[in-house]
Amino acid sequence: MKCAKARAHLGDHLEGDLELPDRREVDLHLAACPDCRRELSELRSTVALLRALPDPQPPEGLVASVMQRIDAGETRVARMPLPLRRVCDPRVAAPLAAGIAGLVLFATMEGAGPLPIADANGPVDVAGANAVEPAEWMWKLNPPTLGDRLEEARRAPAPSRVAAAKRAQAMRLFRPRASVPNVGFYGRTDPDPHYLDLDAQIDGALNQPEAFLQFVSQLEEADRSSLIAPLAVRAARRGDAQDVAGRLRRAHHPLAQQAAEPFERFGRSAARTVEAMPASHTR
Amino acid sequence: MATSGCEVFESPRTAARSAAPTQVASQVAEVATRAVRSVESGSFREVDPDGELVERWQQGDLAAFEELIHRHQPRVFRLLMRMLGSREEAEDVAQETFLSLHRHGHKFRHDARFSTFIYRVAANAALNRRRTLGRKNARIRELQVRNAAGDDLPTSPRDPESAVSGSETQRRVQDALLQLPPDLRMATVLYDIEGLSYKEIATALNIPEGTVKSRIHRARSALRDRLKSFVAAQTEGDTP
Repeated sequence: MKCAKARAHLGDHLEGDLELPDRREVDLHLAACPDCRRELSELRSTVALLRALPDPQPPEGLVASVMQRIDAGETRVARMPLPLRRVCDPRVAAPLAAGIAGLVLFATMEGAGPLPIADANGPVDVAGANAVEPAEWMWKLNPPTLGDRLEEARRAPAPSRVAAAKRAQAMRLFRPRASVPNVGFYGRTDPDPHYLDLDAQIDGALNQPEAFLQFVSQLEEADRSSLIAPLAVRAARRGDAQDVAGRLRRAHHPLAQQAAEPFERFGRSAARTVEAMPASHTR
Repeated sequence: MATSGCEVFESPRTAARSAAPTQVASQVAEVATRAVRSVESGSFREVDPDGELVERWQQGDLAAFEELIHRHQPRVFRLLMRMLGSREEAEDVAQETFLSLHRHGHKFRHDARFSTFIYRVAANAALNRRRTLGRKNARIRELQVRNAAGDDLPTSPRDPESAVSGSETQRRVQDALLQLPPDLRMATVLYDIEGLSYKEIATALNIPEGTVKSRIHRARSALRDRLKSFVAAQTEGDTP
């Protein structure tokens, strides 16, 4: 067994989770390899260091203050910024809090705005915008179903700007036409759903070139080519590329020519290839 | 079941830490039979040492809730201290955890042990804190915490020897922990410090067991790299 493979198994070996054939091989390797032995003992020491950390004592009044808050009808903790928290030394906090409370009361009485009060409407949410509502699945300890994950993905922000932009584009501006045949360049039918999305975007570029270009202009340079290139390729396969290029060129937008160029290029080379094909191949 | 048996329920590892070997064997056997029974019944309520309290709480008994959070506050606080590094933050998030528990507790269906569930609430609160602060603010705050040396000195060390000489080591270890990305940190704190099993961590964090394992391994490698000098000093003694 080589070092790389042994190292990959060291974690499990440390925990005793290795099955017999692997474990024997790792043991044999360890007997012969001082580097891996050192690695193993370093990992063991790291774990020992972690386990040697002491138990911190929870503060005395933690439970009491939680129960107090619950009795007062409060359900969330208001977050204070760090500098302000430094001031909340008990010796300083009381007079300071009294002073602030006085000011607030004064401000309210002057008509600055209503204080949140617990009334018949229910408990007060003091934290407001800062607190994050836990996802619903958190309360169900069984693993989330596909539905849960899709629901959350739909609600969660997309990881990259291009992905978010693409999704917004697809959902807001363009409605995919189910009637567009997924015919590949050589007449194949492609069931790949990714092509549907590209088709939708190309249709959008055809029907609403200004909106498409407006969208492209919001992306950064690097993202633009990664958006347009696959569209151009797909358009070339559909045979649409020249049309798209023409529409884009005629649109009134600073990016029109730049965006149209890849479509034209791919369209031209596709046209040349089609001409070279035998006549029996149709679109 | 007597309260002294509660600790054994957590996992064989925490049992091994506290009890004698023969005691452990019989207690583990007892846990196993109860676990089988609970799997057959489909609910953890009978097996869970907190089962009765949870039931009373869900029926509206606030005193039962208070007793529950009193029982679990040490482990919640320990988890949050290791995850966040600062006492103030840990207190804040601990309060938020318990308030959140109170607010949403009626949704708990007892399909796992209550302690697993409270770990999930606490883990969520700790990870969310990062998100609400914004990544940049969270990083700034972490740096501030790490610079504020000395305000997290230990008060009840497990190993008396480390109390005097080990505080520097502990600060370094906590520092290295804080440098880990939060998901790795969470996995390793739950495993090596809280003593949960892979399965319990997977349930608490709602991730597959394989992910738990790989996060723990990556975390340990990263910690080993950060703590090179301390680790080397210790291994001097035990290379065969």
